[in-house]
Amino acid sequence: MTERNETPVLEVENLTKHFAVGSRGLFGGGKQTVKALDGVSFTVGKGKTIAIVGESGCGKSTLGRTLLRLEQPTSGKVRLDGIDVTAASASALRAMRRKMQIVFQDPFSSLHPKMTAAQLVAEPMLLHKVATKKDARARVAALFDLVGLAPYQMDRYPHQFSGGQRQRIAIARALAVEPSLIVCDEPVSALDVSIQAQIINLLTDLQAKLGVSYVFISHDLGVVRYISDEIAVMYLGRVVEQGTKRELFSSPRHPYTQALLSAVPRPDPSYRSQRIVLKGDLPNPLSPPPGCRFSSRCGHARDICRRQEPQLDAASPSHRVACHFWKDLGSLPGRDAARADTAATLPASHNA
Amino acid sequence: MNDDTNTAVPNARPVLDVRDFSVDLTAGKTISPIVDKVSFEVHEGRTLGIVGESGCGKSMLSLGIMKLVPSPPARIAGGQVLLDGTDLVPYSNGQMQEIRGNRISMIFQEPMTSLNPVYTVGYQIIEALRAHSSMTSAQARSRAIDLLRQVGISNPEKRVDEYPHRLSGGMRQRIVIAIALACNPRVLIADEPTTALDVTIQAQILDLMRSLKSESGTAIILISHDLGVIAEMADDVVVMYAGRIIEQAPVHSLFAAPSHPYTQGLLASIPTVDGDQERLQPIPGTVPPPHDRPDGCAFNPRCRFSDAKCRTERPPLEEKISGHKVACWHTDLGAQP
Repeated sequence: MTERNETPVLEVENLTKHFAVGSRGLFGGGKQTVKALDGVSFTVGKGKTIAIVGESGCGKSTLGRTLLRLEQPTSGKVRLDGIDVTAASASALRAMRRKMQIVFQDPFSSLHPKMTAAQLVAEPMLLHKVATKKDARARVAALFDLVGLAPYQMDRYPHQFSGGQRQRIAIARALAVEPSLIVCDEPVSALDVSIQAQIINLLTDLQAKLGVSYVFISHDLGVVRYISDEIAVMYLGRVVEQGTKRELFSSPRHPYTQALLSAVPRPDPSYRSQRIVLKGDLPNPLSPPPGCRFSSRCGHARDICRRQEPQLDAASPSHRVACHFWKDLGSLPGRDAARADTAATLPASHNA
Repeated sequence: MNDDTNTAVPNARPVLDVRDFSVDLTAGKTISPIVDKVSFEVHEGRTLGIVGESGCGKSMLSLGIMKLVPSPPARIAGGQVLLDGTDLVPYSNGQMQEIRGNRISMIFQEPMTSLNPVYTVGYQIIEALRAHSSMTSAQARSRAIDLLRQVGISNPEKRVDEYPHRLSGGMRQRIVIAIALACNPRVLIADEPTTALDVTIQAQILDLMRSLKSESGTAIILISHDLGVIAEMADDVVVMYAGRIIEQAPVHSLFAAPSHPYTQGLLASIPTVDGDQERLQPIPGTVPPPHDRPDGCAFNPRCRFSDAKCRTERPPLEEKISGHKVACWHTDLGAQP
């Protein structure tokens, strides 16, 4: 949570990004729009982490890109350290990019294969004139040390590093310009679990040391629980629930959050079959269901859900839910029903 | 659902009995084992989970069972794969054609690439059916529709004529499963079947696999890097590291008392959804590449219990408690998960 008395590092206000999707048919019969982001708002305090959670197509990566203005927002505001990013001119934006960096999912494609690790890390410093060619190498060495790479690896090429090490290079590169915010877009999803843990620990250590803020985009709720202070759950371009880590994990209110949490396979054989299994797939983003976008898959949907879009409603000062019935549903409904359901469809024994 | 009474291995002959199976990889002049004398059994109606990180040999093992290893550079270097008692290793490619998709089926991670984009899903199911039976096309088509219904595709009469690109990732994986199950295989090998899917869709597919298994009695080999998926699906588990099995146990025993330091390390490095963790405990270092495996125990450079013996002598996979096998010289030390 943001302390009330200081300016948040990042303020996002009603951010919207619509994509026009090709014309249908040979004669253009009308463009369609995908509302990839539809009125997203949140703030991130200094040294804090907000996690953006959701499944593919929910708009979380578009959000990351729009924050950095790698995509031009359709409407809404993004302020970084109090300065409006959305209205910045091209040159102002270039200067601002020093304050916000991004780490991508795939360390195999995000690093230029013909540059050495040292060149990769030095590049943003030189570009933003944070360092001169002369002192860059010493700063690169310091960053290598900071992210747990050895000095003798500085002149190696990306292909000579493992996936985890490459992600360390990407992190060093992001840190090179001393940003106040790093957008981490699925930074550990391509890594094996044992390596994933190394990188997550690195990110939390760096935050403690440098006070950098993270927008951490992920589909992995385990990772999110570990790393974040606050969480926003997205579904088809909208935030359906937002709150502190404790609120989201101990009393999830939105049926989608509840289903998402219950669907994560636990490394515990006795947990089996306590899942809420959602019906169907994510609807086509070109034609989301009317009313609540989750209504087509929700076990609790009633008429009003199909007619009227629920707005974010405060369940506590820091916890907001966009569901017409969150008060009636309690914090974990459906779970017992799901248990009975699964029990009915599964035989008592596999040998039967 | 599985309970403890269900974890005892049945006495009947296993459907698939893999013995000392090895696959070698040739790179230049060096030949290195990427699957190293692996043995396990799979029984009717049960799921064997194979878990390990990238480079542990789990995918090569499954391709090896199907005799689909890319050769060269890889080749089957020894051992037996007994399907209902008959060894498949000496089989010719022609003989394997009879087996693949018929008695052993396989589903892969990426449903996008395992379906042919230029044929309808119906055509692809019918192709599998007619390759292994004497059905007429009308019979095959109606069976294809049945199969689509069985894997939970709504409106199968219509969907049968759709092309794969019209379907979502989850639906495509259902189609792939329908093709794999078309000929009622004895064994289904599922290599990371849900890794490319979202968690809510993963939950649907895992549910489907479970109910299909209990209906058909097909033995399943489920390969995954995700210990959560393994815990949820498997009856028995094999943990692989650097081409070898380092721990093998019934699922409840494995998760209740993980005994190899690597298995313990894997479990300690997962950020869990339930409960707060102070700090994750990663395993230091990385998996050694096949041509550069250390002597003795392959895990020794990353292991906190490593000593002189670990660096020189390879620990055998030995039964420590009933049904629970571990390849470690220090299992007495490593009792803490």
